[in-house]
Amino acid sequence: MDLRDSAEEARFRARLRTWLAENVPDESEPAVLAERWPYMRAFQERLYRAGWVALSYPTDVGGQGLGPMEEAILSEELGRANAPTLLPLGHLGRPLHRYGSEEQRRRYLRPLLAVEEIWCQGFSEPEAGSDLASLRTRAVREGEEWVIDGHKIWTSYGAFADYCLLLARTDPDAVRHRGISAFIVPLDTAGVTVRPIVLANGEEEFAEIFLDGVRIPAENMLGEPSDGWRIAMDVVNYERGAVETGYLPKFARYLSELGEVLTASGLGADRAARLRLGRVAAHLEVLRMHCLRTLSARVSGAPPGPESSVDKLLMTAVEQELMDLSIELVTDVGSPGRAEWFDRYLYGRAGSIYGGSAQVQRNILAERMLGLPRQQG
Amino acid sequence: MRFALSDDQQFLQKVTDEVVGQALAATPARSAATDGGELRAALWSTLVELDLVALLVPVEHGGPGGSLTDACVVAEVLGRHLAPVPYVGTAIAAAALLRFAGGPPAALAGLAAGEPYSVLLDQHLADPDGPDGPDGPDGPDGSVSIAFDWVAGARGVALSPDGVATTYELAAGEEVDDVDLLHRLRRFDPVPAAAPRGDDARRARAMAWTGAAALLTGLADGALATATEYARQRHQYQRPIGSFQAVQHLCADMLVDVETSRSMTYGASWAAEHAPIDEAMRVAAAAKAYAGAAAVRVCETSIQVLGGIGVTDEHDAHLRLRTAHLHHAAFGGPDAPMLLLADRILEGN
Repeated sequence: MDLRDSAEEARFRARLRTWLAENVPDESEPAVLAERWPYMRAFQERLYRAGWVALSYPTDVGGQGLGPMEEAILSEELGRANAPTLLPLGHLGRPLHRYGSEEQRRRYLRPLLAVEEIWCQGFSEPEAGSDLASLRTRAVREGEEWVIDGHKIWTSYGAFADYCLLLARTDPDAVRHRGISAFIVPLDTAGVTVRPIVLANGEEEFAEIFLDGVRIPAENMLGEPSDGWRIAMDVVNYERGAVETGYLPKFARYLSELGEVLTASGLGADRAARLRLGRVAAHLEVLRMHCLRTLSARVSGAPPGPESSVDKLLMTAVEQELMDLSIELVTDVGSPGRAEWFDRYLYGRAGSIYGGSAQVQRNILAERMLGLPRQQG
Repeated sequence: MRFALSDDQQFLQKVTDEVVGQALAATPARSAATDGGELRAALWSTLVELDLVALLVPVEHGGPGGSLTDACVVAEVLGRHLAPVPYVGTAIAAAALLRFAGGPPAALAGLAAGEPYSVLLDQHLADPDGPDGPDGPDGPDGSVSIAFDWVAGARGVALSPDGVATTYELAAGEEVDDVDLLHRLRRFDPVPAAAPRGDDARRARAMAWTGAAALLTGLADGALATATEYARQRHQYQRPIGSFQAVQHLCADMLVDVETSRSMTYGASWAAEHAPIDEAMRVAAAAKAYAGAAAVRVCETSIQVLGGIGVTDEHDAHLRLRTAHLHHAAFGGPDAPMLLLADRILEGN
């Protein structure tokens, strides 16, 4: 154990801190996604140009060739500088890097990391949510093309995306997850229709994607035929970590704002309120330490496995606890900020659903980490 | 940055696990509640021989000069086995107080050699409802009278009003009837004491909190292991109950609590010893608050999975839950760490 920065890490942190002090925008993050998206994207483009994102990707694909600990430092320093939230899409570069051909990596990875091209993931379907392996979208080979028909849903940032990492069934005779392949689908291809889904908080962060006879070149398959499930599991394991998705600094900002709310409500000396705040603060510290442990384990280069379900359940619990506290504190009807906190609270309810519901995460832990006997039908 | 146990620490973990496991296979932990201290003394001398009790004692005072992380590795194993020894009170809390708050060198040397020391608990020092809480810099001084992790012949260690760790001969006293049957408390004539104010005393407090968190993590891990093993073997409706989703989710929740407590505890084991004092206190507070609540939750859930047997005197589940509650409440009470964390945020505004 040594949580100090090494000499190199310390230099990296100092340079980053200096850069952030000069480059974090003065205007705060807009509450509405339509305004927040260009704000986040513009900041991330600047971060990338200055060499502060895609840290742990190799330099030949547009990364910085650093390690997971630099990712942890980035996350901490973004929070400290009250910087805009990172687009939670960094994990989508992982499968391209791991399974992509030389040509695919060269073509797609750098623009993805630079956020010049926005990616989304086409996994869930109306009839394939938790049971992802039952997906029905089909890809049929016709000459040098794949022809794709189907319907994807719950695609994060689908309305903003240029490319979709899409799962489709290529072998209808294989059982369930064995017949699935992964594809790179340009969303401006004829036959693709993207329709935003309006969430309860009014935002259009998710979308449906309809694919109607969509033709893509044969070389747009990622990995080998039937690699789709493996690729999908890799993606969700990365997606379940809090550092990869940039949520840690956001939660730290929420906690500090809740401290201000508590003071403004005249509850600064109220023991019960302080205990509530302290409990959430402890939980956030747990998340920070757990992320450090997870990232340290990744220094060896191994991708995350089923233990990432612990990270996901923890991250969700911290977010929902923060939001529950906000609703407890901002109780005066019509008080300033109440509606905004309520929207964040509503969004927090999604945390235990997307990326595999909290119940699916528990199934994974029970069977794959604890070795409990398989559930029977 | 490196967040992982070293090879040496993994070896320490393995050896401690084997030694304690063998000792308690021969004589179950529960016998310590009634054997007049025989098992406790035997196990303690084994730990002394292996130099595990002296880990926090510096080399110049006869210790091996280990780290708090080393001591937490041992405490976690002891918690997993529900070992009835005063490790957190003596080898971590008393040792840290003696080492950091200017305690007499002879006492540290004595502790390294296996002499028993108890920590005089400070939870009654300050008005817990006061504006600063028991840990605040302006909390009143007072007196302490309850020795934590007491064993026969132990000397007491407390922070005297001048902020120095002081040892006391403890005469007679009377057994305190509290919840834990394996870690004892004893009431003595009060001695004057102060809240931890100076950086050194606060460092000792942070280390005591972290040591308790390590024991609590081990207690929870043992409860999880007991429950999952039972869930694999116990059949109802012609199948193992561990194949029912309702039971699986209870076990998964326990696993999340155990793994996250472990992350928090080992992070704190480094920070409490090495980080600047404010950071050390903050991280140790999070460890104590979180691991305490998590261990109580996990021990309760384990009883639920065990069903009827879990609520009998015969099963160890209640002993584990009792030990969890005592350590959750130790060193200033369960609320002190949370109030400290809250006040850090509020001061920043």
